[in-house]
Order: sequence, then structure tokens, then C-alpha cells
Amino acid sequence: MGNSRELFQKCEDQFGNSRLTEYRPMEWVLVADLEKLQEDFSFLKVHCQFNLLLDICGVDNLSKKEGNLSGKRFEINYHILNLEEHIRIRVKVYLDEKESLPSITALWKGAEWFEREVWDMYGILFNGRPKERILTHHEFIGHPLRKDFDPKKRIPLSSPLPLAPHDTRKLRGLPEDGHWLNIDPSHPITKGALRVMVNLEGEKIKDVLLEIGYLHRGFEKLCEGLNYNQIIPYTDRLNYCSAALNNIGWCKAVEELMEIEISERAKALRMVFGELARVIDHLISLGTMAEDLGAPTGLWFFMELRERISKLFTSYCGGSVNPSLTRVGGMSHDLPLGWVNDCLNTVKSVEHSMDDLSKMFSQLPWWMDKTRVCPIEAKDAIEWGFTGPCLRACGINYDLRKVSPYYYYGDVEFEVPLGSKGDVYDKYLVRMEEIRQSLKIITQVLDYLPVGRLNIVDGVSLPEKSEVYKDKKALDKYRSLIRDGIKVKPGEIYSAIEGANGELGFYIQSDGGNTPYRVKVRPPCFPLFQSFSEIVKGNYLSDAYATLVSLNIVPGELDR
Amino acid sequence: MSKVKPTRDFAKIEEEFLLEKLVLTTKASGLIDWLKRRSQVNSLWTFPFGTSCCALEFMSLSGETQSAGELGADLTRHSPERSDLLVVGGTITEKQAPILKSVYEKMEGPKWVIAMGACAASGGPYNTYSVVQGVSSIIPVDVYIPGCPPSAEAVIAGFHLMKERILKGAQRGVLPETIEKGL
Repeated sequence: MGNSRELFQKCEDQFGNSRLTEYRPMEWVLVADLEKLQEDFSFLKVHCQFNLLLDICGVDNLSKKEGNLSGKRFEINYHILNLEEHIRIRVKVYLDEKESLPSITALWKGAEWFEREVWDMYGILFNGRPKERILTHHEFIGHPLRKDFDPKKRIPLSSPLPLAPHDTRKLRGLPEDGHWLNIDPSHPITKGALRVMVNLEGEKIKDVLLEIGYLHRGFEKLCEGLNYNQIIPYTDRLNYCSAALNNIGWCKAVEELMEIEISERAKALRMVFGELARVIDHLISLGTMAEDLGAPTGLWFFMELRERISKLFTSYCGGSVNPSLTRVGGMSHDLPLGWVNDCLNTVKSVEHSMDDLSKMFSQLPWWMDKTRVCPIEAKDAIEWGFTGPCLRACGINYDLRKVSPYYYYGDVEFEVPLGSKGDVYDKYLVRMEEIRQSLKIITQVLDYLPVGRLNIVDGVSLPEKSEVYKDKKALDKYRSLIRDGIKVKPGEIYSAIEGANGELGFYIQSDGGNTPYRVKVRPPCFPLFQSFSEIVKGNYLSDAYATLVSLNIVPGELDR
Repeated sequence: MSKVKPTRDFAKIEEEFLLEKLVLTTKASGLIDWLKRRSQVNSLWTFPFGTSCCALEFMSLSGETQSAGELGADLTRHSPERSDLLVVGGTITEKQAPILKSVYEKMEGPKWVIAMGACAASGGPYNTYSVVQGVSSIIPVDVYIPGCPPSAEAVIAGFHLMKERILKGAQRGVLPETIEKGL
């Protein structure tokens, strides 16, 4: 804590106290000038160790109700993390339509895709960066997240992007010749919608071009027209492997913006479901890894475990893939009778099977041969903006559940597994161990599950159905909550939880209405997949496959 | 085909028409088509065009509790030339649409399409600038499976419906007349 005070003092001396404020504990806001932006960033990175770029997020101020103070149309928010002190800083810069920003790819390699996304969505140019679309297709016209863009205006694409297009090659300085191989969006290895184009020399990879956006569904634009509770089902479909974690992340962000405290029981239940979702995500990731590395039956061992756990979700809320189990201010409903018992039984049986599985894979010579490939150095991982299991596999002890515990993560006992080399095998081991630790957390929470009412927040939670039938006041309250949704006071927040793939953050700006003004997801996959081209360069094609599955890219979250 | 044919009194048939009444004539291509269908029904080779959440639910079809094996449809092929049935599971964006179309075009006939889930059927919850509002605007669809995502049981039911349609030869777009005549 002392160090963070010193750091704040240091920054205050540099920036002046009118520009730098601490709006929440360990979260600062810096309002920067466009001219001095580059200088400020180098000071933050070099002298203050703000070394991990989390997110770059644009906002269009065109239709803000109260008008905006700066008088400029756009604002860009950079979220940067200090890994040692766990401080997040939001650097805010205002600019007009014709102005452009300095590119910060020299400081953080991971900034490239974020900058491309800002251009794609808002049409804001970065000096030294070409106009390159990333999420929308190459024939798209307009910038969808601008407030004057019609959300239902569709522009069909006439033909898919050619293999290693001439323009892109020219941009990246790649030669015209070379044997290019297309790994399509419908290729089994890409698990959905990613496109990887590799330039091969024999079996070795010379260059890689990545194309994403095949599952860009316009989540962020949709959110601008929906109530806070209506967005919950959409968050399910971001990372569909661990949907419950997205629900929790979203509701936690809204609750922090509204400054409300949920009941103890709801907190505990969120922990249980969140950890179950994390287990499912890791199981799917490990299973597909086994399948793609040449052990197709391995997939079914893992999927069978997954099915046991998704039965728990089905018995709680009916859906196994997309459960939508949280509400702002609590959970959708209380546990059904006997659920805790079922859960404990399942946890025990999964724990037992995990031992068998690790005996099967962990010491297997051919498995180690295939997975001891493509190591990542810790400093590169930070440059790219890695979080989650992939960062921990490089040996960096950073887990949000430990370093800034939310809910009761400070009270439960668990360990954070770490790797050393950051190769595929380390990522595999970290995931295997994290499953065990998650199961350990679940048992501990269920042992001390708090009792009492679940949804208690006044003005946010729906009144009990039995009251609604008897009481006129409760009925009115029920109706108005359903019809108008929750009103959130004006403000902004960046709130993050430890998702299955890394730090899952939600940035929300509210202008006091019942729908958010701007929502930005900080998807953990985005920086991971961006680094893929550099990790696999110079390696064999089969190693690239192994790396791709070990990164666990989920397109729903990547493209939003 | 399922129609009950009236019994024929062969004695009454005059000799010169006998041959015509006892022999059915058809095109060779029609016969091959019919044979293909009969074999397809019992072993559907599926191309899973899974893009999002539905793909995950589709995977559980080959799992322990639900089995597509009993339908003869558990074999998935990731090459359009070798598959009979295209299962579109997940959101199809404008960026993905031309790829889906080319996959469908590469499949050899007779070919069948199942639109699995709300997104493939109508764009689902995503009425936005980047999502195609139903794959039927790109390729013909035979069977729709509702749900977001559909449960494994619903997918199995969809497969049963698909098989019925294949037997009847009722594909949208292509309707070989030989099948209609009751071969």
C-alpha cells in the first residue's frame, strides 16, 4: 500500500493534481492532452511500471444528454495495468473528428489490434497506421459504433477475402512469392470462426496473416439499446464455453457502477457457478487440445466430465450452454432442492477422474514431445497484454482472485499454479491444476454457504412473486422494474473479474438512463490471438496447431 | 411412394399394353439419385459449419448421453465434397456468408441443409449491422431446429425430420420428378 501512495505522489508531481484523480481504490484516471499523449505514456510505462495495456476503448459523445464538458466529439480511454502494485489507470483523451492520435505500438506491441478496432468502429486515425478494418469486412462502409450509424444497416459482402491479399502483404512488407496455405474459418482446427493464412517454406512457417471478425455480431452496438438486465443473455454468448463467468462479470460491473452491495448468499452462489464455468472452459480447451494433437478419444474423456458439470447448470436454470443465471442485484433464483448435494457429488467424481486423466496425459512421452513447443517469454507476454492461464504459464503470478479479491476469494484457500516456459505443455499443466483448485474452492464455499434471502437490493431486485400477488405496491414496483428496467446514475466504470481465459473486463458509461451509453468488453482472447503470428514464426506447422488450441481462442468473445 | 396402388387385374390387360404396365421407365440419373438417397438416409455424413455456441451443443451430440450414432449420422467430415448434410450451427455474419455459400456449392448433390438454432434460422437475437438475418437468404434450408442453442434432444429430433424428408425427396430447390412419380 505504501508503494502505491508513493507512486501516486510521483505521478501527481508529473501530471498535476487537476489531471490525475483516484476515483476508486487502486484505480486512477488521468486526463491527458492530445499533444502530450506520447510523453505521458512513456512516463507511465518507463517510470511508473504501467506495463500491461489492457484495452483501448473509444466513445462517441454525439448524443450525450448533458452535453460533454470537453466540447469534442470523441474520447479514447486507455486502460493500463501496473502488474506489481495492481493499479489500473485510465488515460482519457478527447479529440475531434479530424484529429488523429499518436500510435503507441512502440511502447506496447499489443496496441496494434486495439488501434485498428478504434479506426474500424469510430474512424479515428492513428498516426503511422494505415486504414485497416479488423472486425467488419473489407467492403464495409461507415463506422458502426458512431452514434449516427444506423444499427440495422447491413452491407453484404460479395466475395470472401482472397488468400494473402496483395494490399495486406504490401502493408506488412511481405514478399509476393511464397507458398501460402489457407486455414479457413470453417477449418476444424479453428473451432469456429478464425482465419489463419501461413506462408510456408517446407514445413516451417515464414509469415502469418490473421483475419478475425467472422463472428462480429455487434454486441457493443446492441447494448446501447437494451436495459441492463436485458444484456445478460447477450453476455452469455460472448464466451460460450464459460458463459456464467460473463454473466457475473457484467452484473458485477453494473453493481459497482450503481454502488450497491448484493447479499452474501448471492456472492457465494456466484463464486460456485463461476468456478464451475471455469472448470467447463478448461475441460473443453484441454479436450480439443487432445483431439487436435492426435488423441481424438481424449476429447471424449474431457467432454464426459464437462457433461457431468453442465447437468448442474441444467438442473439450476434449464440451459447447459447459455445459462443467464445472474441478475443485477443477485441471482435469477435460489438453488433447487438437493442441488448442493448433487454438486458436491459431481465435484468429487470429477476430482477423481482428473487424477486418471493427468496420469493418462501428463507423463506421456509423445504428449510431451508434441506440446513442448513454442515457448513464450514472460516479458513478451506482458508486452502483448496476456492475462489468465497463458500469462501464468509464463511464470507470472497474476490472478485477480488473489491480487484484488472480489466476493469471498480472499477467504477461501487455493493456490495459483504457475508454469515456467510458457510453452503448450505449461499451459496444459496450468489448466489441469486450475481445474483442481476451482473444485477446491467450490467445496469450501458450499461448506459455508450463507443462508438468507438471495435478492435483497432495494429498487433493483424484483419483489418476491408471493408479495406481488398480495400487495399493490409490490405489483407496481414489479411492473416498473420490468417495463423500464433499472436506472443507473451517470458515470463510468471499468470492472474486471478473472475469466477462464484471463482478465474479463467490462467498461460501462452511463448517462443516467436505463440503457448504457457505451459498453466495451475487454476480451482476454483478443491480445492472445494477436500474439499468435509472432509466437509461431519459425516453427513447424503442427506446432502452430498446438499453439492455437492451447491459447483457447473463443471467437464469440474475440469478435464480440 | 407411400400411396397404396390398386391391385391390377392382369387378365383384363390387353396384350399390347402389358409391357408398359409392368415396367417402370426412368432416367438413369434419377435411379442413381434415388439410390443415393436410400443410402444417405442410413449414413448421413455431416459437415458441421459451426461458428458459435450451437457448435458446442452439436459437439455434445457425439457425447455419452446423447448419441447421433444410432441415427447413422455421427460421422462428421470437414470437407464439403465428401458430405451430404450441412449443419449450420451458429451466427452467420456478413463476413462469413460468402464462405458458407461456397461450402454449399462445393457439396455434391443430393445435398441437405439443417439450420440449427435461432441465429441460423433468423439472425436470432442479433438484429444488427453485421449479422445475416437467416441463412435461407444465402442457401436453401430443409429443416430448422429452434433453440438458442437447441438441446441435444432437439437436434436429434431435427435429424429424424431430415431423414423423413430425404426419403420423400422433398428438397427445396431441386425436385427430381422421378421421385415424385413414386419410385
